[in-house]
Amino acid sequence: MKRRRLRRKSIVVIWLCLVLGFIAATYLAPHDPLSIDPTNRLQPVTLEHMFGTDHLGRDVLSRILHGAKTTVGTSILVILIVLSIGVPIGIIAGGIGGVVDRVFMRITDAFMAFPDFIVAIVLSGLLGPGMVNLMMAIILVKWTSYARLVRSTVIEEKGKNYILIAELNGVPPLVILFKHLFPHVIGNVLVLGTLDIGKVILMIASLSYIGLGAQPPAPEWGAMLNEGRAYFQLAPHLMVVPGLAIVLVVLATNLLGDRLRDYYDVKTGGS
Amino acid sequence: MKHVIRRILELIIFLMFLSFVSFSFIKMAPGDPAMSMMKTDEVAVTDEQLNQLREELGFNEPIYVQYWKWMQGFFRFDFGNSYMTKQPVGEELLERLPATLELTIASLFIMVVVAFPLGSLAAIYRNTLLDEASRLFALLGASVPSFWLGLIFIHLFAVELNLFPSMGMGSWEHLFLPSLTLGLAMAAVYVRILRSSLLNSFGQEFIRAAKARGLSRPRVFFHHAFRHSLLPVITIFGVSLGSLLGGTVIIEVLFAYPGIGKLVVDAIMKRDYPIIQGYIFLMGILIMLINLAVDASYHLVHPELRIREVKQR
Repeated sequence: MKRRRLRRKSIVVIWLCLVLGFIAATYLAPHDPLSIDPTNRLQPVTLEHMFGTDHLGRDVLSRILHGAKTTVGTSILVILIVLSIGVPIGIIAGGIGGVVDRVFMRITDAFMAFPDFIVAIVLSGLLGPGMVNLMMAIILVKWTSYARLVRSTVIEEKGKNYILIAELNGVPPLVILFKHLFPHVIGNVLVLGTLDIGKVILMIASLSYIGLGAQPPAPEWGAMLNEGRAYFQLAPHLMVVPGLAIVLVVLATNLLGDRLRDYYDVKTGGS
Repeated sequence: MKHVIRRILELIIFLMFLSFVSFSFIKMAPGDPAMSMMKTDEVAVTDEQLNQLREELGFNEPIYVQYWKWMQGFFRFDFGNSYMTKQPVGEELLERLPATLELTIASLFIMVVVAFPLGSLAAIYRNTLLDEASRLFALLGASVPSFWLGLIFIHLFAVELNLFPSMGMGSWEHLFLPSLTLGLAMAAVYVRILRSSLLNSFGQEFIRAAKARGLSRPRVFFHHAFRHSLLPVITIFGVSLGSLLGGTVIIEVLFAYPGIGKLVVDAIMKRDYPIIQGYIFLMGILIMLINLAVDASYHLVHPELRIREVKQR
């Protein structure tokens, strides 16, 4: 039990490092990500511009670092919002049960029928392209799997003896919830959240690439690939650098998520 | 029979809901559709013209009358004319649909060609180098954005080697790069699912029984293990068909492939609401049909379900 708790703490630490790292990244940027310098356009990799410059002479390294805030920061924010919606709803549905639970299951069924990409495209179609609408679309689709995971965890734990004993001893329901149920819920949810970060990053980058996410001149990794596309032959770093940034970050979150999943033996998929 | 009627009722309710949601979103959307319709002509717009157009489009009528008319059109797949091309939206979408289906089928083909052998080999030769390779393939597939993979393919095969065209459609060569991009990304998921599903079957009693009966190894594999292992694959497949529809949008834009995805993204950029409406309707129907088909296919692959239903009666 002690080891488990330690592990759980270490996830929180890794998460905090991630968030802090991406906040720090913006301060490490050597140049202004938006400042245009036409005399220095499409520069190859030099000491002054470690990842070269783009078609408007902007420093690619600075744009990548600021892009981390847009791409990764936004996906972490999205997951946090999703958690704050999904976890309470899941606890309520699983804890109360009965009609509330049945209604809940119906609603999530309806939401889950829609693929997230389509919802994102449709929402940006109806509300106009942009980062906020994209975030809303992802939140709209994603909360259900967390609510379902939490619900099934709560239902599973509720039937166990230690909860019964606590109830018989007259422990108030709220204390049971926070002291006994919550630790189980949080572990599972953190695993799923870590695995989802990569997916959300990919989605934001892809939709920004086709112009439905971050709008230029905002530094976003997918949008950078879109802007640089016409110049790939002259300046291959415009293709390689943002792409590798996406791949490496997503790879890291996937590896972390896989490890955590194996450790906790969580069944992802949300049902 | 009861099941079918229930499904159809669900479909109708679902379409009503969809029509309501898309209507209210359009009404809430920023910008004036009459204005954007006029603007596509690139001439100055007078208030008089605007009012006339609003009258024509029925924007001056009370909201419930507008909704009623809207819903009637919705169920007849009539969304008016596109602002961009002035063509009826239904025709425009149906014209583009075959291209998207072609791309989807070609990608599925590549997915099967890559994932089935690789997944089977990874399961048969478990914990060998080959298994590790399939693991790496799956991990990369989950981490590399498909549009970046596509960009690399374009750069490699179209620009550097000049083997395949990078955009447009018409021949199988045009289809190759887009479907390779999409198919590989999908295959990464299925390799691992098929592998673990096969491993699960290998450990089951009926496989041991089949081996004990002296059946040849290929027969045991294909006839018993493989068939049994397809169920989880089909389940996930049904779920991911929807996201495949989303995936085609990215790939179509990337390769300038004239399917529905490209059409709708262009429409979103130009605020061509009738097209977007038609797209929502079409996707809603497609997703419902996919869910139905997945349900039906369970019964084909999994005879147990049929038996259980008979018993329940």
